[in-house]
Amino acid sequence: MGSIHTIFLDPARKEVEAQDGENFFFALISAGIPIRGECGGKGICGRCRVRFVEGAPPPTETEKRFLSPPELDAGWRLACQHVVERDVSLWIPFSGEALGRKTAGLLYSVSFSPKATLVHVELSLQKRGKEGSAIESLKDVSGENIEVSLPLLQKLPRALREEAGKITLVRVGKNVVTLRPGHRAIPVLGLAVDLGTSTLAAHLLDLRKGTELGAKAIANPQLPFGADVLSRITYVREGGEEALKRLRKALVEGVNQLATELSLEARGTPDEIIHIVVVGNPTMLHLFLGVDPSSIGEVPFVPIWREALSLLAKELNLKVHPRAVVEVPPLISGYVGADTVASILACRLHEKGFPCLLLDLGTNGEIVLGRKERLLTCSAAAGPAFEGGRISCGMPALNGAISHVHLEKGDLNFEVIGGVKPLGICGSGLVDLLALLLEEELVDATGRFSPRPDHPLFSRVIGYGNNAKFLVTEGIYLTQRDIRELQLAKAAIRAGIELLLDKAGVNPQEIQCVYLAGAFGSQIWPQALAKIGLIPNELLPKVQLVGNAAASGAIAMLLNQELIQEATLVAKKAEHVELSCEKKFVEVFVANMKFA
Amino acid sequence: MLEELKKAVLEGEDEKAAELTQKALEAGIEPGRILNEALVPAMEIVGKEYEDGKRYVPEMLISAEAMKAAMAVLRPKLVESGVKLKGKVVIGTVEGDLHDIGKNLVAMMLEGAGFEVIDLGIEVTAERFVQAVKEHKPDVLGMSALLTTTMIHMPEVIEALKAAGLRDQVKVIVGGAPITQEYAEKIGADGYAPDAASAVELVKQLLGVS
Repeated sequence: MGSIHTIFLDPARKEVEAQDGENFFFALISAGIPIRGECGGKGICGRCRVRFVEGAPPPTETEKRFLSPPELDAGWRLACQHVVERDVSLWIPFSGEALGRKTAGLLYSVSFSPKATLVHVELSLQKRGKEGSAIESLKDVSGENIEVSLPLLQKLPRALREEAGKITLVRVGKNVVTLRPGHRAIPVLGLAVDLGTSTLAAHLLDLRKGTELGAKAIANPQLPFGADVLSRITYVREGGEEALKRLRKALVEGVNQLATELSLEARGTPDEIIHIVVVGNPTMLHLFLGVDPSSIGEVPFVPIWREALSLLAKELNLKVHPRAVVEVPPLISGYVGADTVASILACRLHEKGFPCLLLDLGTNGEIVLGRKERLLTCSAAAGPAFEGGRISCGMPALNGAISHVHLEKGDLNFEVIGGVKPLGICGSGLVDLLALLLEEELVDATGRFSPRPDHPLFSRVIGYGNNAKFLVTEGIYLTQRDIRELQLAKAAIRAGIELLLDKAGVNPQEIQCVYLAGAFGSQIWPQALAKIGLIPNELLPKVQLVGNAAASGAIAMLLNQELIQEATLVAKKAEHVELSCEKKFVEVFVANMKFA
Repeated sequence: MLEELKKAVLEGEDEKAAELTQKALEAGIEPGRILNEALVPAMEIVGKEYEDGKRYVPEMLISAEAMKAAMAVLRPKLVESGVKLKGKVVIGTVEGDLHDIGKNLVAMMLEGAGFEVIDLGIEVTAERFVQAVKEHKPDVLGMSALLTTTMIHMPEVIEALKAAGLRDQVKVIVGGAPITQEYAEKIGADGYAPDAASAVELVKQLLGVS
């Protein structure tokens, strides 16, 4: 092994050590520096920009593609393109750590009957006499089935002794999580977690009262390893066991961070969390459990498991109560996961007497067409464009993202999440902007910037042909290539909708409600979606924004245990349509690429 | 008539393109001339317009469809008349991958540039690529992958070609959304092209034809 070098980081004023010959990108990631990146260090995304304060290495061909000559001269490089050879100083700008809040409330009133309960019992060993045991007496008084675990056996004698048989039990179903002598009022907390490809969201609940104590979202710490699930799968396939461990650790630490911050902010402690429902897409769930997701990456795209799982927190390295029960609702297919099942539950799609659509517009656009009798699901590979991925100035819907764009007195105006200086544009802003450009005919039906010298906004269009871009504000623009990405993404979703309608033999007119969920589900302006053609015009009046429906479903499962069983029924009922195997898909996809 | 055929391809009128090709043949125009004076120039314009940002995938595809319709009529006659084509290309999407829009565009652009193209379709295993190289003895082997999870099969194909002793008999080119020039070099391919129009240029350059 070679020697160790030091990397000085500005403006963070940090020092990081790296092996001689180690790639900068990976050295920074292993040191926990939240560098931007979407392709996992492959030189495809051009995001891991760093500036060498002095002595920048000669630029590679890849860098010449992503960085302009003045930028190269100033020392800007891509971290993934160089290896550490000596001590260096780097300037690393934006670190994507902004905190945001994902909205998710309950979409209907759930009757409060949680699986996690606090019970006060009084044990009498005399009652059963010689024939019995303490456990049998416990079963007698608590009424339900109890699983006998070693910690339960070990804790029971002291509890019996100290307060004359008075015991407080905290249980999740048949699992006794804690057992304390005496009748106490200990907190019972639940955590609903949504593992999104771009963001992790969590909601903390008081399961004795049935109230929400707080909610929080952070950027998925796996982002530097790839913007979409496929690049993360590739990362595991190439890096093996080590890579899987690394991705798992990133997710688990992200969830631990959310659990700790939320419980501390609610004046509690993370070990009071005893029941967790984790939803997410199949790849995220595989990675969270440390299960190699490679089989999802190739034909026939199958997951390792589909059934509902009930696990223990300590098996997952979660820093909550070690015996907390972690439920993972069932999956439908390799690309339609527990998040979709939870969303269906939250919208009650499986109970509707008329056909309804559910669109979750994340990196993989999950589409469900359902009613009481039948649930059809598919996943359209929209790519990360709607989450700001693979868009030159794109970013997730976090603080600093332009979330809305509109015309005001003939000029462009926009809103920024958190009211701070804009750092980029998120999905809802991108859709708004594209709709506006189409409306003003600055972009034509084929998706090309069109010359409109008479238009007041035309002065914002810089460059020609494939190099044209529209300036939103200083340093933030929408390029011709970005429009192409959005075009592909919307065509994929729209084609998915049309194929499901076709399969079910349902006309768009028959659809009674369109539930719009996902990262930008609560932010989006439905008219803009119709304008860019993502949803058919006739469905526009039926759109209902439901925010992060997956998280709502997870919350509902914490509040009412019957919904955990219902999730399994929903997954069984769902029929998955694999779009890439549909003969008509390409035809419909291409036909929907235009904006007219 | 050839001018009209060129226009039909540019505007993506597939039925008309097939009809005009048939008429041109019936009128006694040599198959080679139909190819070189109508179809090749049409696809050249398509490629140029794509580079200028005037065309995107949908507009490329409609022309490709028309080109395909014309070629279906023309191909048997070309073979009969013994017209010398510029070279032979075997093309396919790698194992585990079902995506073929990009691959089909490349195939069409190559045909439109006067190459013989043998399209192996999707989910082509290394074995089938090797088999096809043995059987058709192409000048160029083209591989496409749209998923980062499936691009890893590209080096496998190259290794299989080496193992079969065929690697130096064929130029290998690669393409697809996740592929880069660096990746192509890393796996030992002879070339990479970011889109269908540049793929034609790449093949011409590799074979030293114009």
